[in-house]
Amino acid sequence: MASDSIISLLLPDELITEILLRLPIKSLSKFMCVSKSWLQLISSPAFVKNHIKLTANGKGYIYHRLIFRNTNDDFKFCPLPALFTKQQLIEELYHIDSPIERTTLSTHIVGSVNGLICVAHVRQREAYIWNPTITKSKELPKSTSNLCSDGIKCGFGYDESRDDYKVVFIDYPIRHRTVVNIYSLRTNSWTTLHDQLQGIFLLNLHGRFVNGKLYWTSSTCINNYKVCNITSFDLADGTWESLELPSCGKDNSYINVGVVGSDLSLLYTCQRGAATSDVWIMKHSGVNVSWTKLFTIKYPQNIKIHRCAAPAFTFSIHIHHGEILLVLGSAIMIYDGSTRQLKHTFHVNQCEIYVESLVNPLKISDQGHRNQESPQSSHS
Amino acid sequence: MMSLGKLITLKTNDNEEFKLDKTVAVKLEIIKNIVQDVDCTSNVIPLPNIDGKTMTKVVKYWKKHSEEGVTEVQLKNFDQDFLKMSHSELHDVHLAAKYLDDNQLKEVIIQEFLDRIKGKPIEEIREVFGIVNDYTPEEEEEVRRENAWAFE
Repeated sequence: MASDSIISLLLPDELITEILLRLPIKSLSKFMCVSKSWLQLISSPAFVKNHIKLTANGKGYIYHRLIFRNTNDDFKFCPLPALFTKQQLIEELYHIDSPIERTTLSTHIVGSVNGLICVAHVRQREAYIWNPTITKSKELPKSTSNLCSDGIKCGFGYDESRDDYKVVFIDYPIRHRTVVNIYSLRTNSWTTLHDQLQGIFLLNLHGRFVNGKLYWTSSTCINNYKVCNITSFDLADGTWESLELPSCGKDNSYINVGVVGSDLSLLYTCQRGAATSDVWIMKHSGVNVSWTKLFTIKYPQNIKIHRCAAPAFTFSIHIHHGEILLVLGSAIMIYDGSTRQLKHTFHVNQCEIYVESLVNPLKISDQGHRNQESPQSSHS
Repeated sequence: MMSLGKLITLKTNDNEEFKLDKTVAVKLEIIKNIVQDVDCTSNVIPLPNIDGKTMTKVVKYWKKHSEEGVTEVQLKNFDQDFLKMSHSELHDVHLAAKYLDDNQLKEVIIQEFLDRIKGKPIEEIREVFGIVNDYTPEEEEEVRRENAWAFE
């Protein structure tokens, strides 16, 4: 091999970018120390975005993790592929320091997108947007409006049009009146909207984020837990919409909203405690949407599915080498894809699947810079 | 042997000619498009962005990888040998593969670069890529502290 002289081997940025895009987060975080230009390249929004695209679609979920609250009330994570193959997780569990000093039963994992996780302590009005991979977190400023009712719902998602992350709290302080508080990470501020959602009561505690929108199952009035509709909130334009349920001829079904891969989907359970559920997914074809029944899954006998399938929970399904992983409430079930036989199960407190990413929640908020430059300026 | 008339000639920017079986050549998007677009009675396709030295390597790679009955092991050994070149030569082959829209070869080159930096400390990475450290010791220390978890 010819030994290059140092000057001759300066590779163009384009090739360096292509090489670096294939590296895991840990190497990239190290390589930020190589030089200022590498730091700039690796932390540029375009690089971060392209890297997410590659890792999120990476084969075999090698960059995906399952995070959950441990019984000791700290957080643990486990690489997603291990869930498919291992019967026991003890050796696959890693501790992560939580941004919340003392987690309690009312600490919620609200949701996850692009490697960021929103954890909230609803009663203490404390919330964080956290990237556990790079150990960076941003505490949300306290919202001015009072969040106190029991029926509070929340959601976390990404507004691609503004490259912004948003946390939404929906509160029902007075019967039939709603207060919607929306936090934008980019502006580091809250917006409050009143009297939205007339005649709509959201059911699942945490909205399920799919393609720019947060989804809830909903009923027509407060404290009615019979699902009538799917209600979505568009994080880009702030509009609410209703979606009809697929007509499957079962009127008294229990329905949970969730995601299969990257498609919005529903879990139909004909009665609480039933041994099976049908998985439906929504497909877009042009402007039309249609629902298709994907498959039926059978629950293990020992699982208290009536608790998991309660309207409060959402679910997610990941398919890997023909095997199906279902996360529903606190239960994780792994099925053989062809025979649909249950292979093994796990039980964890509140969990969420996220992907390793470089998104630094402290760098999205540009409020700090703006204030320093000129207090009045506002970017469009 | 390949039959006559099925040959396509690729001509590099330094006028070196490479005769290739058409069935090999049209696997490449760019050649396929040229063959379709241009009346190729002469069967000569100019490659204005690639020199003879680089094209020799590319053609060697293509020929081996389209050889009949070649085994996985043989290809692995061939690739290992093939990739024994300098960074700048690798870069040239990468550019050629990119121009020829050969994703497999592009990926092989990127993977080789990744193997060359795998597990290396920062100082060696700088050496491999010929990068001058433009941080002051204080600045570097700060970036290191910011990313301390990655060095654990």
